[in-house]
Amino acid sequence: MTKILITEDDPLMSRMYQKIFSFEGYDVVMATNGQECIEKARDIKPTLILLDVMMPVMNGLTALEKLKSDPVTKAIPVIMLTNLAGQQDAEAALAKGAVKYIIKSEHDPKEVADMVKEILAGYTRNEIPGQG
Amino acid sequence: MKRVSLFVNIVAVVSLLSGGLLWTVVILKSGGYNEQYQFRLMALLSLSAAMINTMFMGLLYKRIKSSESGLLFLTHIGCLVLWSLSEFMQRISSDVGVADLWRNTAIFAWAFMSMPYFLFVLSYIEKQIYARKYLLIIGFFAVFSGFILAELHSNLLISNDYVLKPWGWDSANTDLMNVFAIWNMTVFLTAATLLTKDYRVTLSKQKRTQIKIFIFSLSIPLIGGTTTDLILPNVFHVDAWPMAAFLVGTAGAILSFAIYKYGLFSLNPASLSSEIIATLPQPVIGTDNKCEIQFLNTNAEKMFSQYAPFRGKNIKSFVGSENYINIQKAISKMDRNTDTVTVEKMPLGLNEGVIIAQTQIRRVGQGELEGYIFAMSNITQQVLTMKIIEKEVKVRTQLYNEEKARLLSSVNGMRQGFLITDDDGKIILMNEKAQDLFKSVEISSVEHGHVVSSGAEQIIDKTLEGFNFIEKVKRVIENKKFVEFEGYELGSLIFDIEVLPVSDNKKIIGVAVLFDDVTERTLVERSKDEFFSIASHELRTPLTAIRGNTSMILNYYNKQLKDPELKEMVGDIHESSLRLIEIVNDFLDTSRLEQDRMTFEFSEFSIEKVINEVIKETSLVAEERNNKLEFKTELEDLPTIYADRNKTKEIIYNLVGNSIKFTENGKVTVLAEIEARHIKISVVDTGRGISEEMERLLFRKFQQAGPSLITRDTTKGTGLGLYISRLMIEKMNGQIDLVASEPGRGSTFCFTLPIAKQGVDVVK
Repeated sequence: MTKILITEDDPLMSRMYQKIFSFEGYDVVMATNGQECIEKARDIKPTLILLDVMMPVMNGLTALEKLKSDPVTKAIPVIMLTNLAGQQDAEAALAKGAVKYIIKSEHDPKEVADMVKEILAGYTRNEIPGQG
Repeated sequence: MKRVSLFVNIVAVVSLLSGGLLWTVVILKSGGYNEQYQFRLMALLSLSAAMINTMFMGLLYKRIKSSESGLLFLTHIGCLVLWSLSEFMQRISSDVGVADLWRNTAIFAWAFMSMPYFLFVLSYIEKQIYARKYLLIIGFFAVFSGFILAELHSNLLISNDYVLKPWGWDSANTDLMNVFAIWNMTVFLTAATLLTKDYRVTLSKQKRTQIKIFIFSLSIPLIGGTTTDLILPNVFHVDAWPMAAFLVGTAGAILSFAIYKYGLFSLNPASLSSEIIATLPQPVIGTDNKCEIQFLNTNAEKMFSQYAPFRGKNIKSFVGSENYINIQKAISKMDRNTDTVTVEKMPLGLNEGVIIAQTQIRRVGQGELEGYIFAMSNITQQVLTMKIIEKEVKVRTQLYNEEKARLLSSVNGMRQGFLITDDDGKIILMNEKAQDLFKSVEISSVEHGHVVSSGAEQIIDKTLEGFNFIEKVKRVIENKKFVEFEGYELGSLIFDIEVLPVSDNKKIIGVAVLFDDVTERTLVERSKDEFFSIASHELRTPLTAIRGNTSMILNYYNKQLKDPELKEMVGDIHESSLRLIEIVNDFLDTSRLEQDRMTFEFSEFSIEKVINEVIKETSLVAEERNNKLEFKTELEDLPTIYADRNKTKEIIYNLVGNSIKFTENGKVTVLAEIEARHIKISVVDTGRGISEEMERLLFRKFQQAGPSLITRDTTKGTGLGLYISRLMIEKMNGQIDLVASEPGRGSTFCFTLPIAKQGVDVVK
């Protein structure tokens, strides 16, 4: 089973995404902050990581940096999730190695699941993120 | 006047020359006589006179030969010697002829003797100038005496009756000769008178003593000689021994002795230099060692004329006791190495007013102090000028300080920290705020001229780490261009710093530096940014939850939603969440656009692609409303445009979405064409159309607002869409407008965006 590591501090959101990916048949592992994410990523080496940006202890961008600088976790594709308004963060994330940048409120969960499927099917990261 | 004096001078010189000629002839004629001599006791008087004077001549020769008066005196003594000697020779002659010869020689010397003496006296009393006056007389005298010699062998002057007297062969003088004797005596008397006059006037004690000696010595022959040679034989017809030669010789000896022993000439400056001192523009006073006035030059006499007569006065009476104390103080500072001292400022109360003199005092005399010379310079004008200048400087400094105080009070009220430097980069003024910022800079109070301590520049340079204050100031002075630095962090504060050149028309006179505290503003800005971030995040998260969960219920829990009403309710919740999300997005976008906080990422891209994407995404909705949706263009190759891709897509999405929304069973077409340097995109629909009334309200905020606020179709969105589109298009250098619309027929919206310039636009 494909393992997905979902890093989300808001229980509302985390519950939602946990459900959808479970429904879609993935093995879901949860983390509630950047630090936990890194530890778990090293531990279980998921196939994909969904990473929220605004989190306590360590935010998503910092966690992304660390993931990409650790040889163990470097290769795992990371999708950033956010509800932030700014576009600079998106750029920063992609520059740091994220595959995609999704604005949560813009998509139904099913759409997110479809996007994940596509990425796992091997689409490149040159897709422009955050469609309106 | 000039012609007369010239005539007089010519006559005088001619007389002198002819006199000299006569003398030469006489001398030449008196050679070649046989002499026979016989010793007579009386002759010894003459001999002694001759010898003593010869001795003196020898003693004094070296010492006094260099001065004019000295030469004259020597000449006189020489004549004396000749006279005495000749008389001696006459008295020891046994032959009448020889005696006669010697008598002639004696008279020759006698005649000549008085003139040099007279000239000597003139020079002694420093009235040599008068010598020129007497030149005429001297000239005549020379002629006269020459004449005497020429006629000596005649009976005009001396009789030929030689009688053997106890003192030898002698003959009587004629009356004419006596007249000449009287004339001779007159010359001596004149000399004595001149000496007496000088005695009365002179200030010098020494001189007075000398004159006494003079007159004493002169009186001997005058009285004695006249008596024996003139009065006794002629008036009383007594044969007295003629003592004239001897007595004159005595006088000469006395004088010579006085000169030898007491330096008769010592206090007389050489005649030329005394003329110089007399006429110096500076008042010069000579005193003895007790400061008693001995000598005043002409200008000193003029200056202190109110204190005349000057004889016997001390310099104290000229300058006053206070100044005298200062003089004494100054004199006390004289020592072996310092023989000149100066009293810098001596106020003198003269009749013409108070003048200020700078007095130089010089001691006179080698070894022993003989006296002082006071040379005074009138520095009244200089002192006055100095006072005026000082006053002027004071006034100007006062004005400058007032200006500074004025400027300071103006700039102290400024919100920013403010300082000015001069054209060397040295700080000359700092307002209160600036002083607060840089507390370690020391500045004197305003009353004391607001003097900024040196090193202030260094303090500021050090405090503003990384700013290079001194360097920047220097650069602005050189380039005359201002420099800005935004967001400099100093501790917990943030500043915008501006360095501005200050010039007066042509040249730069310094810089002004402004420190604007933008801490709060910056923090507020930052917090606003944060607000937007957080607001959007906080609003969107629960909305996402609502949307997501309802969506999942609809997707995965179909079985449990058997009840259609339940399903509808869940659907409504989902739809509400979508609407809410849209509203939140619109509000946020509007806010950000209005506050210019939206960032645009410009790039070159193909608008075809974007349009096709939009069509793809909206085809479903179009289908639902049974609308045909397509993209048409006549152009083969659409040029790329330069804009923000995402936002452009948004705009197209907005227009297409609107068209679909307001059209049913119709057609929505997207057209693309080129217009000038822009690409024009048109969205044409066959929908409801927009009435004229509504047209006016398009593109405004909440465009659906009608005459009544509550009359609106809220199902058709917030009404912000076009407003946002317009703001965004304009920020991308484009235009958006409703081109045409007819109610019931449809509407056409279009917008333009600039074509990307080849090679100029940079893809970010």
